[in-house]
Amino acid sequence: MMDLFRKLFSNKRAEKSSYINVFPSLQKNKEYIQNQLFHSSDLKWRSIRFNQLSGLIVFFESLSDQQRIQNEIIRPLEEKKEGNVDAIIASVDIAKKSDLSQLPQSLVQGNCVLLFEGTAEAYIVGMAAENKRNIVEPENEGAIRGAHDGFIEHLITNLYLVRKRIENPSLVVRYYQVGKATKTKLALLYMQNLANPDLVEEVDQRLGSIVMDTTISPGFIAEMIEDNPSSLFPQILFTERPDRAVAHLMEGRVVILSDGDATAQILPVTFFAFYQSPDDYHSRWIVGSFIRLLRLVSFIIASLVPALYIAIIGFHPEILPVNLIFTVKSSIDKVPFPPILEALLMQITLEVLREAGVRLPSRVGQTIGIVGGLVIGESVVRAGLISYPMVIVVALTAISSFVAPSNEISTATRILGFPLMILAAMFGLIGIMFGILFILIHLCKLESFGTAYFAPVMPLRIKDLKDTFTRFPIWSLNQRPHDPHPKRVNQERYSRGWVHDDPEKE
Amino acid sequence: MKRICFSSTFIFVFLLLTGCWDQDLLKDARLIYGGGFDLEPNGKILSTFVIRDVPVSEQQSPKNELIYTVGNTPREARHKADNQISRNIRTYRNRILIIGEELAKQDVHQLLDVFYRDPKSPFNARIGVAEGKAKDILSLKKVGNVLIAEEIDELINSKEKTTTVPKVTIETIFPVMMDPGEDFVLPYIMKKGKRVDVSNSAMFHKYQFTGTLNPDESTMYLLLKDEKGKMATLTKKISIEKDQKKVYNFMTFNVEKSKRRMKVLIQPDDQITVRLDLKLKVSVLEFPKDLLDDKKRVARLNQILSKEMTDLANKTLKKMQKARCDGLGIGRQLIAFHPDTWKKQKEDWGSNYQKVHFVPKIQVEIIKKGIIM
Repeated sequence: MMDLFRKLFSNKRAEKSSYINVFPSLQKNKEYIQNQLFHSSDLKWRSIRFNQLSGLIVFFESLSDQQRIQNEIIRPLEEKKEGNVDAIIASVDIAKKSDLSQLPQSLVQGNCVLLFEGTAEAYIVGMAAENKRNIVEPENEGAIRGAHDGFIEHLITNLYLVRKRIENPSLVVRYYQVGKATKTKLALLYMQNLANPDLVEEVDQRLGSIVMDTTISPGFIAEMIEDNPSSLFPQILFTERPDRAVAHLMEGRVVILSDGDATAQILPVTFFAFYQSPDDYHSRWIVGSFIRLLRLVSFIIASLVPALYIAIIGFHPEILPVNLIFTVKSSIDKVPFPPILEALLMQITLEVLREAGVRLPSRVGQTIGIVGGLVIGESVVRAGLISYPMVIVVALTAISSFVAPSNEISTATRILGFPLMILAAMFGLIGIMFGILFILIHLCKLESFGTAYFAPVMPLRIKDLKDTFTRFPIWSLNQRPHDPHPKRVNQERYSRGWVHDDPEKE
Repeated sequence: MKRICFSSTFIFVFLLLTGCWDQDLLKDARLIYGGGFDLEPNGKILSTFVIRDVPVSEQQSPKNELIYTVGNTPREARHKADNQISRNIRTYRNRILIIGEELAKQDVHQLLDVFYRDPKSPFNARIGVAEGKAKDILSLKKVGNVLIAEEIDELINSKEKTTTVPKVTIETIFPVMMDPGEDFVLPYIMKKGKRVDVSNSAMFHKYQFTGTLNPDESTMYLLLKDEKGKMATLTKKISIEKDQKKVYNFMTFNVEKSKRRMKVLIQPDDQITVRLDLKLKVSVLEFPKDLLDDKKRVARLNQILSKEMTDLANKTLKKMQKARCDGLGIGRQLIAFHPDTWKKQKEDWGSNYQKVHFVPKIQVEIIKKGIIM
């Protein structure tokens, strides 16, 4: 029964549209287009004479480049007076259409339509205006060394950024259109010789099956194709850095770019991909390893420390060393709330401050610093509402969560802290243990596009651990990570060829 | 849908009902820093609790509050103390436990029973025997600027490092207490005017306090037990020539390395002989008498020191035998290597131990003599 319904309402229905021949009468055509576009005010037309026929150029002044229309259509036609239209118009993108019903759609895509009296055909010339911002470094994904360019809202520019980095015929781009109403353009990128064909097919199928009216942010598409939308952990890596996207492409993963958005979606990824940053590979490998370990430790700190603190203060104070216990005790003696309330209060304050900081215009931004830092941090303790250790714990949590190079995982870790905190307040360390157990079970069970989310730890693959917790020297990474099941796992054998070639070394 | 809603509410409510069942908030606790037990003339136990209160502001220094209660058992006394003080008494951070001399002569095992039952009891707390009453020592309240229980705890800690008193906690003495073939030795805490002195050791036989060792003997015992701390400093009188001036006739030295070999031998007539070989490498800390650049003199000094130390060892072992304290674990050696002998002797090991023949042999070698001298 359900299948029947699905078939009835499937995407195919949207594609069927009535075919109308282009009328020979110019007036009729004009009326039809105007009616179809509801007499929109920014729809413009201009009369022209060519081959002794009166013609009409129709375009949207908001979408088409009027300068180009003048230079590439009007001027050549006026100068030549007669001849073959295809040969005269100096534009790359020109097509003949006899279906009148397709014209409004091509007009809203920025094309310019050329009609002639007595001709049952229309010329569609690509005249879309290109208004795009400069390529700048993404603000929320800065890196110290390495490339400082970032994706922008223009799909073609983004594709250029990727293609420029991988000058290889194997890089494949596939276009999709998603959103019945908005018709958002998507591009699926993958390496033909690396990406697993099953993966590509699966992504292709899922992208094709999306049914919705509007696609605005990449979050829409991510939610549509994700395996487990109710999980707390992000399963698709969002990035605005082309170098990051390219690195993942070369590991056999798939990148989805969408027009009108600067975010590339990388899939399938593992949990640890969220803790890798291009900076790791630009610094020396020992430094890179240290920083990556630091990030993973900060994940544990951010999700666990508030809960641990609550459990210790509320259930097991005996595990504190003697010098510490009196320091802590002197601070918490006068606090009127139970530890869980104290922690929730501070954590929520922190989230509010963070959110306010994002929304606030930079000119008023200083207020946040004063209100947040001084009032909340200092006065709350002075007034005896919150204890010093709790402020330290929350501050530590905040700082460690912001260490993550991906904003999605950083928010997820902080949210993860809340259930653990409640468990800790109810059952102490036992509760935390069960909480971690559930999280680990969930992480091990999670799959995205046929890839284990917690790889290479679970399923364990020792070779991939080289580039997971630490970053081994690049010449020692002879194999690609196994989790996206690339077609070719082995990379080059001896990257440092000179070591073997140099006769004096032997 | 209704069923899911119902069951999830059910689970949620039940989870909330259990909430905070085991909660034991730190802020509601009154922490005991140290405690003492004494024997009352009527056979009851007088307990002294030192409660540490920390003020909120950083300027004020912490204070001690002392509570004295009398009860039949330590736990009863603690409950009585709880009645006298606001919030809950918590012992989990107790650092030091002092047992009065008279009570120690009765039965320590029964006294400590509660510590071995309570899962939250402070196992790593130090334990010592007080000269006289524990109450009197704890009633000092402050020694200099340091609060009493903290002072005793840190004093014992530093004395453990100088090999003056054995390194014991409530936890480590338990297996020894339960072992028929070994006895334990505790620090012996004395009151000296307004200060506390920890340098002697209290010997136990089974569960009873039976005698003390003076500082030198205590160090020697620890060396014989092969439990040297970071330092072990001794001062011995050296009389090479018959000298008139007697003031500077002493040498202070530190044991740098010590190597012990113990062998328990059984004669056919079941006479137990214990051979103790101790090799000490010492550094001279103070010897105003002489330069030590002459090898012959050094060799002579080695001989004298060896003899002095052997004498000290003999004295120590005699004293231990008199107190029936098998601190070196001779009984344990018999259980392990001579079970037949042990079976014959275990019934009355205390008095049989007194018949053990000890042959200590200590060799001292001076290896360091300072920078210029």
